[in-house]
Amino acid sequence: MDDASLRLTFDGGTVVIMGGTPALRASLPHVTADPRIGGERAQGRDYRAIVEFLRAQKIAYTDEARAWGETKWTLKSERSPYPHQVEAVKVWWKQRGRGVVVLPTGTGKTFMAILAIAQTARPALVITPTIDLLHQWHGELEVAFGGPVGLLGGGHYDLQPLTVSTYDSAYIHLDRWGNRYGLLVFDECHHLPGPTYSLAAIGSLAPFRLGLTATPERGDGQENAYPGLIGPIVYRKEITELSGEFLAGYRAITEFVHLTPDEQARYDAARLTYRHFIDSRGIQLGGPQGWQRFIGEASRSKEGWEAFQAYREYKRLERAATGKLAKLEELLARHTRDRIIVFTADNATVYQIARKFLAPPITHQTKSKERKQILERFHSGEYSIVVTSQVLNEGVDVPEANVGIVLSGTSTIRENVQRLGRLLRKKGDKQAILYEVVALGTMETFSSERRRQHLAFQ
Amino acid sequence: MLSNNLVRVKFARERLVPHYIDENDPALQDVAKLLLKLFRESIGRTRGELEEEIIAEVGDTPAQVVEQGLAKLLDDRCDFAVDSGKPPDEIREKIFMISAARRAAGTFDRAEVLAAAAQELELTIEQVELGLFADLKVEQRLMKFDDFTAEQLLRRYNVALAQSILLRSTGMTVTIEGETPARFRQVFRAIKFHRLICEIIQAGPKAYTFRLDGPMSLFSSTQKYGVQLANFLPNLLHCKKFELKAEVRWGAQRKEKTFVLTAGDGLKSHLVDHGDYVPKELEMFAQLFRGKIKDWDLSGETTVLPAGKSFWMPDFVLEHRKKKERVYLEIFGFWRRTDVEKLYGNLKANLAEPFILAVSESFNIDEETAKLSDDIYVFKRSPLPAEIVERAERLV
Repeated sequence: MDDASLRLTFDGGTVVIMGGTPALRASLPHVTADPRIGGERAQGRDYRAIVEFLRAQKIAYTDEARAWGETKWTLKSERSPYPHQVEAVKVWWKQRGRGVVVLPTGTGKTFMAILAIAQTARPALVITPTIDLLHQWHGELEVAFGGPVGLLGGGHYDLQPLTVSTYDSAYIHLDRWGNRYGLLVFDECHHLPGPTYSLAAIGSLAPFRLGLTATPERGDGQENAYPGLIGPIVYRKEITELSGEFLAGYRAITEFVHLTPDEQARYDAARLTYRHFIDSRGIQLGGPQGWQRFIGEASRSKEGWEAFQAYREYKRLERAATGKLAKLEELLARHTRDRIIVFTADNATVYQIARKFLAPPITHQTKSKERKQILERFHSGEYSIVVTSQVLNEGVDVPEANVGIVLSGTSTIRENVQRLGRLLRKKGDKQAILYEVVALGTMETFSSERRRQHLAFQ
Repeated sequence: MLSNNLVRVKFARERLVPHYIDENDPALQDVAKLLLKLFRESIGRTRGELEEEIIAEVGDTPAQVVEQGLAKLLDDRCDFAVDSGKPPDEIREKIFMISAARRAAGTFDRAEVLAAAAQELELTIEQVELGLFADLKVEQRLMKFDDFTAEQLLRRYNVALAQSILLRSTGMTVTIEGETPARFRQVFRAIKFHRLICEIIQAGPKAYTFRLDGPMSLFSSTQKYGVQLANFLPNLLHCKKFELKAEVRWGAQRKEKTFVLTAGDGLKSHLVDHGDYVPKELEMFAQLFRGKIKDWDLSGETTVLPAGKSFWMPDFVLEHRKKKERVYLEIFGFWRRTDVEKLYGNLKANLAEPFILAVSESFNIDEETAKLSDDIYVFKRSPLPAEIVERAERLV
C-alpha cells in the first residue's frame, strides 16, 4: 500500500480519509480530524462532495469506500408512463439526481421511482415505512426489472443490487449497506427526518437520492431537513390538479350509531373520571407536551392511573361499540358484490372483527407469506373483505377496493387522506364509497369533523 | 432489558441515579420467588393468560414497576410457541374461503362457516375457533422457561436497570485499574465484538481510561451506539475496580444527563467469567527469568499499546537495567487461542516499540518467517529466558 496517496474507506456510516498529508486531508470539504484514528473522517452523505472536489482539483486518491459501480437496469415493463411521471424524473435528474417529488397518493409514485432507478443506472436501495409496502415494492421491482430483488426487514436480510428495506432496518443495518448503493429512494419520505431514521441518510455514501411523499409537511417543522438528507423539493403536483384524469371519483358518507344505554353509562362515567383529572391538574391536551404530562401523572399517582384507565375504557367503548359492529354487519350485507376494506384504530378491534365476521385481517403480526396471499385473493376476488388497522394506511396498492369503512381512527388529517387514497385507484368507471361510522354522544363526533378538514373532502 | 416505562431513576442535578433494588430485601426476595413459581407453573399456558396472572399477582399500577420489571426479565427467558391442531394459517385460509363464498352468495352464517370448515379440516368446531388466531402473540403458549434463582433475578434486575440507561447513552468513558493483561484482553475483545470505537489514555501507573462510542459520534452525539454500550456493560462488571461515566439523553426532551457506575455499586455480571486466570507457566517463566538474567528487569504489569485500529497487551515488559531500553513480550502457550500470524502482521505494521512474540511450536507458525525475524521466538516445551534476551539485545 502506498502511504503517500490519499485513501478513502467506509466505516460505519462515515468516510475515513488516511494517507496524503494532513494539510491536504484537512483541505477536503466537510471533513473533521479524528484523533481516535489519526486521520480525517466525514459523514457518509458528504462522500459525493469530497469525490467531486478531488476530481475537480485533479488530486490522486484510492477509493476503497465505494462498493458499487454502474449498473444498467433494463425495464421489462411495457407500461407507458404518464406525462407527470416523465416530467418528474426529468426535473429530478436535472437537479443532479437529488430531491423530493411530491405527488398525491395513487398517481404512480412507484412507477416514477422505477423510471428514476433506470435513469440513475446504479445499485439502488428503496426505503419504505411498513412491512406491507416492503413486500409491495419488492413485487413491483421484480416485475419492472426481472431478476432478484433483495429484502431487508420483516425477518429478511438479503442485500442485492436492487433491494427494498424498512426505515427501521435501514437504520439498524446502516454499517453493512451504507457503501453499497449509488441511489436511495425514500418512500413516504416524511418519515425520514428525526434523530433515528435520518442517520440512514446521513451515513449512506449514495450520491443520488429521491424522496417520495404526498404529504411533505410535518407537524414539527422538520421538513427543513430534506435538503441535507435527500435534496430540496424539486417537483410537486396537488391532488386537485390530477383528480378525475387519473383518479376514480368517490363519495364520502357518514353513518351515525348510538351506544347502548349500558355502554353510554359506562362511557359517561369513564369520560367524567378522565375529564375530572385532566381539569383538576390543568393539563392542556391540545398542547405539544399535554399528552406526555398526562402519561407522566398517570405513572406517578393513583388518581392519574385511574384516569388513564378511564381514558382507555372510553376509547375502547368508542371503538368497538355494539352499534358499530351491527352497522358493519349491515354495510357488509349491502355490499356483497364489492371489495371492502375495513379500517379500525387498533389491532384488538381488527381481530375482534375478524373473529366475528370471519374476514381476513392484516396487521403487523401477519406474516409476509399470508399477507401476500390475502392481498392476492382480494385482488382476484376470492376474498371480498380485508380488515386492518394502520398498516394499510400508506401507499399499499389495492386497486380493486371500492368500498372503505372507517370504523374508528385518529383525527389526524394525514391518515384520512392516505386511507381515502387507497380507494382512489382508477379502475374502469368505478365509483368508490368511503363510509365513516361515528358513535353519537362520544368524542368521535369531534374527531370526525377534524378528519374531514382537508382539501380532498371539501 | 427493561422497557421505558419500567425504568426507575431519580435526578441529582445533572446526575441520573437509578433506583437499584436491595438484593437482600426479604420482601423483594419473596416477590422474586413468587414470580419464579408463577413462570415455572405456567408451562403450557398462553402468553395472555400468563400476563393476566402476573397482573393479578403483582399488579400493573405505577407503584409496582419493580415487580413488573422482574416479570419482564423472566419473560425474556421464555420460549413461546404456537399450539393448535392444524397450522393456524391453514385454518384461517379454509375459513376465509368458505366465508367469502357464502357472503357472495348472500348466505353468510358464522356458525355454519365454522362447522363447514371444521368438517373439511377434520377438526372439532371448538378446535377451529381456538386455532383461528393461535399464532398471535397473546395466544402463543409457554413451552420453555430458562429457570434461575431468586437471587440471580434480583441481581439481573440491577444490571438491566443500568443497561436500560446506557441504551440512551451517546458515549461513555471507562477507567479500569489494576487488572491483568488477560482481563484487559477480555475487555478489548468485548469492545471489538460490540463494534465500538475506543480511544485510550493511560490514567495512572496501573490505570487506563477508555472513551467508547462509534464512528458517527465524531459529528454529533448520537444514541446509535446505545445498544452496543448496554450490551458491553456486563463484560465490564467482571473488573474489580472501574469507573464508568456515560452521557445520556433522557426523556422525550432528550435532556443531557450523566450516569456514573463504579465497582462500588456492586452490580454483578450475569455472564460467565472466563477469568483473568494467569497460567502457572507464565509465573514459572518469570521466576526462571529473574533467577538467571542479570541485565534485564522483567515486569508483569499491564501495558496497553495502541497498534493500528486495535490495542496490544503484552504479558511482560523487559527493561534493560542500565540502558533503560524496553522490549515487550507476549507468550503463546497451549493456554492461548489466538491467530498469532495476524497479530504479528499488525504489530509489525503498526507498533513502533520493539517486541517479541514467544510462540509454542504447536501453533505451527510459518518457519521461514520465524527463522528470519528476531521478534518471533518459537519454543518447544517452555520459553527459555536466555533465548529471549539474546533476541531482545539484537532488537534494541
